[in-house]
Amino acid sequence: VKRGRIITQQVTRHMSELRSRDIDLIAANTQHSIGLFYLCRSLDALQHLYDLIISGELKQIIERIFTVLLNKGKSIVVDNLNWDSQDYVNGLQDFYGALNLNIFSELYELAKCVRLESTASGVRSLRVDQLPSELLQLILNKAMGQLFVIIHRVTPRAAVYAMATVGGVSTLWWRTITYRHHSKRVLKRYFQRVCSPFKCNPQRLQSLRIEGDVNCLTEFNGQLYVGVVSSASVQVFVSRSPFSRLDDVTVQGLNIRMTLLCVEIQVNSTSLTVAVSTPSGE
Amino acid sequence: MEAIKTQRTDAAQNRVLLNMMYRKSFADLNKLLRCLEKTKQSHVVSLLSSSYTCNDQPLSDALKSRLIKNHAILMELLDTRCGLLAELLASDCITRRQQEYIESEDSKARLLDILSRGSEADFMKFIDGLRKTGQEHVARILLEDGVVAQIVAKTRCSADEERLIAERFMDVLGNSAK
Repeated sequence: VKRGRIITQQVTRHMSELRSRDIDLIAANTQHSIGLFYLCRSLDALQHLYDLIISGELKQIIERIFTVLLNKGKSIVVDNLNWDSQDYVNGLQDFYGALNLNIFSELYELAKCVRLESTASGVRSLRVDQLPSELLQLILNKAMGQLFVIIHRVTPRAAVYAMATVGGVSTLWWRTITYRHHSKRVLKRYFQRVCSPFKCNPQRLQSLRIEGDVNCLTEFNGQLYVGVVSSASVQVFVSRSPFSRLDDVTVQGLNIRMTLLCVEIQVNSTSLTVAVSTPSGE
Repeated sequence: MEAIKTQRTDAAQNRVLLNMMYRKSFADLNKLLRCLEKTKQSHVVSLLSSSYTCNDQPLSDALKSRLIKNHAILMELLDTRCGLLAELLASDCITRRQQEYIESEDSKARLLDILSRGSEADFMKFIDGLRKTGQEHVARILLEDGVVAQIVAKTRCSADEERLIAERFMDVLGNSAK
């Protein structure tokens, strides 16, 4: 009973540590040595798992757990942990696709071309942090520009949304965007004055997570309405940091291919917010 | 009939059949729809006939892409020999004929192929079947958002010891999930 409790404690501790980073250990099998299957729910989670492998931390944890599980009085040695580099890159690209930031696949294409001395691990050469920071900054700026173009017509805070979305992808990208003292100062000023009521510290700003390809976006009464291609639902967010997602509004027959507007209608002194899809410019 | 059978792939066979149907009468189209219904393909009927009302919808693009994206991992983790096929047959997710086809060879790939061309309702029955046969972890891969990372730990243990570790690991994971 005591041993069982120790095993459960070890595994549960490992799992809860990972869970706090959006990672779930979901299965183990023995098709090739011992396969461990981790479900990563965000880009940061995927990169955190990668960091655990590179730092050797995951190896140590797994050795401890395996030793307790086998319980034969000998310490289990894990020679190496192998994560197929192509799987890792596919995972990264999945998240970029989900975040509607396909521009970032270009970034990894570039990263693949970078040849460094420290290519002991195949995965390491694919990391963004291997890129010269100026190049990364350039690409991130390009990505922010693309997002800005999509949303600037409907919200005066397009720059904030663009920056928050890109910066929210990973802490490295947020650091890169705000690396230069001058940029940081400009951003802070922007957040505090131009974008009032965004009084928060930009580093604490969360990403605006939109599902699907954004087609139109409008801000109304403190809420952000986002129309997504080929969907009859409008995704609703609080238009202030941290952009929490509210319930989706499904409107049968809604044509999201057009501009989205929100209007307020008074019906028997009850106020209704209605999402209207109209041809652009009308 | 021969023109269809000689085609190599399912997609090519379907294309020839549909080309033939363009030249057929309305009555023949109705016969095709009835045949599709009889062979558990109501979700295809709902695509062909706007007046047909049924709850069966083809598998959504999102679920289909999860099946494709996680194919390699599903091939490793899915266990079709633990009563899963019997569960699927009992819940009317697959037909007897499909069960025999799956069991004859390459069962995991065949089951996944049938599911990807089936309806959303059948997919949910498959999820139920997974849960009933102790494969909740596979159901999670298919239902939850995220990316599954497969990390292989190379140890100096014997094959038996590795099997024991993996089995105990799964036990603990199962218990902590409860």
